[in-house]
Amino acid sequence: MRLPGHSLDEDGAKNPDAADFGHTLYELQIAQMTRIGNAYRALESALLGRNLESLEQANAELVRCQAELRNIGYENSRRTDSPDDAAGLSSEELEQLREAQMRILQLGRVQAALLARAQGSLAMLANILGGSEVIYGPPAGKRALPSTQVPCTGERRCRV
Amino acid sequence: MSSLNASLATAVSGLEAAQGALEATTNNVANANTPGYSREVPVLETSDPVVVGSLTLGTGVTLESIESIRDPILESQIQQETETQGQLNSLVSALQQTQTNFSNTTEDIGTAISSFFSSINQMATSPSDLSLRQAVLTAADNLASTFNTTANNLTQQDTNLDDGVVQTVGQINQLTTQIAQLNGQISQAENAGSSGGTLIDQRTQLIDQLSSLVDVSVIPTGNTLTLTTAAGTALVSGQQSFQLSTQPNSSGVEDIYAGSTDITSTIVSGQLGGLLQARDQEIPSLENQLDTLASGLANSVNSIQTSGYDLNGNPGTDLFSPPPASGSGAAASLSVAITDPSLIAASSDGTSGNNANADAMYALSNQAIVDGQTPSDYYSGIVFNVGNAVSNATAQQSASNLVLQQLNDQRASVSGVSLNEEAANMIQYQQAYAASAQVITAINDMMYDVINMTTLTT
Repeated sequence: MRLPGHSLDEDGAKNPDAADFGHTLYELQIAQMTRIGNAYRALESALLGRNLESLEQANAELVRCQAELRNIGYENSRRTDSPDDAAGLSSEELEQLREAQMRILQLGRVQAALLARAQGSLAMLANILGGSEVIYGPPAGKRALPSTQVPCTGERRCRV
Repeated sequence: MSSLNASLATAVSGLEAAQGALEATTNNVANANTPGYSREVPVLETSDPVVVGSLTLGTGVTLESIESIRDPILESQIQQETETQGQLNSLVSALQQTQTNFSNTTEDIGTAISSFFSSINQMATSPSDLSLRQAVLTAADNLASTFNTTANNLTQQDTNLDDGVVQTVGQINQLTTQIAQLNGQISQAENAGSSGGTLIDQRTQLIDQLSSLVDVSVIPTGNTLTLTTAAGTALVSGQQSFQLSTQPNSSGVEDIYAGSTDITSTIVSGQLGGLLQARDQEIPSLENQLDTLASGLANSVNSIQTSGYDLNGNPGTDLFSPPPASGSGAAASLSVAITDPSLIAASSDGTSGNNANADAMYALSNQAIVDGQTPSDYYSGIVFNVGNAVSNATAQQSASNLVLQQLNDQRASVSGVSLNEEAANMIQYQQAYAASAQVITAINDMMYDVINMTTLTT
């Protein structure tokens, strides 16, 4: 990703407009993390609505945003040894960056929890649709045994 | 050929069916905003026909029943998620309260540890300065009291959670009693040929409330329900409810009993599960870590202190009162054992200007003296664990809220009342009623004609 209005030469850290560069990076990072947050929220809605098409779209957007954020970090590290200090960011800006990171982390946690629940409800549905001839396992969730501990022997099918 | 009276009966059955259906619609409209209400639909069936010669003649319509629309799978999912939400609500609440003890303030243990070692470092610059020695005692006292306060806060929180357990068990007992009563009423209604829809709605509401308190398994038994905990402890069987009770155990906390069986460890979900998890796992774990930190710190400082010499040239004595050998309760009981600043053993050879022992004591701040870590690192680990537990539980809670909202929306789309739909139904039943009434009027006219014909012929 190219940073608008800035040349990314190797001696960029010595450039007098290093603070300006750092500020541009900061704004890009914040904007990118906002996009990641939006992608996570779209993922939430898609997952709750079991909308596979939206799920794929939101997931693709999330992957794209994450890659772009990595690129921003890479450009920053190319120019400076100590990204935070050398980027010329104020403590307030650093705090805002940290808060944005924490928001993303929390959204990721919520997403993981939602996925676990989706897995559990799909397992429940599979059990119900499986009919009476199958051997039922517990739904995949907090009460479920790890798959290695669920007895599935012989020709009996085991739905977990 | 059927008689006019038979046609009249058929028309009357249409009137009655339309009226009954309209009553269901009226009830739906009235309960459009009632929480937990499931919309009712009339079940209309053709009455048995009569065969007259070669003809099979219909005899009208019968309002067989009024059924409430429910999705049992959805109800089951809602109930399960309600349990999880109840558990997470109480757990997050407890953890957030716990976290306040470990927030980065000027009065937290981490700051007190830093201040204590900083004061020792200051004293080492001038070991015979009594004011610097007094500063060490003040910092040690502050450290001990910070440990005491934090440990006492956790103990107090544990006591509050214990009270919460007793209250929750009381609420569970109330709900199971009400559900058992409703089971009886529903059974009576269904035996009398009614669907008991409203009563079933009430029972579903109560089961949802119960699910938020404890993990519940619902087993349909005939026209009633049996409720057990997830581990199989009976809560309600038909019209009988089984009360839970609490009894203090040897540690002084309340255990939960079903009859004479201790079921505390089997309750993992619902508000009760969350309270038990916080009371029996999260807080004791933190108390243990605090005790490890307090005893590790006190023992190490005492060890250095007793290997040196005080300002009077005498061998040093313990700076902190020795913690219990097991370490249990060390944080709550930590205290400073000396009050005279000259008794701090800063010297390693008994001379007053020697500061080697003070340096050794200060060096403890960077040594792995608490479970293989420095005191500050160990404390940071505690803070991180608490913060991480809160974040994880909060994320789980958010996910649970989202899922439950989604499930409730789904239930509303299945069981909820649509006023537009009810308005359309109302017009439909009104017209059916009017049509049946028109038929009756026509039959009445026909009967009048028949009577007139009879009069004329006579």
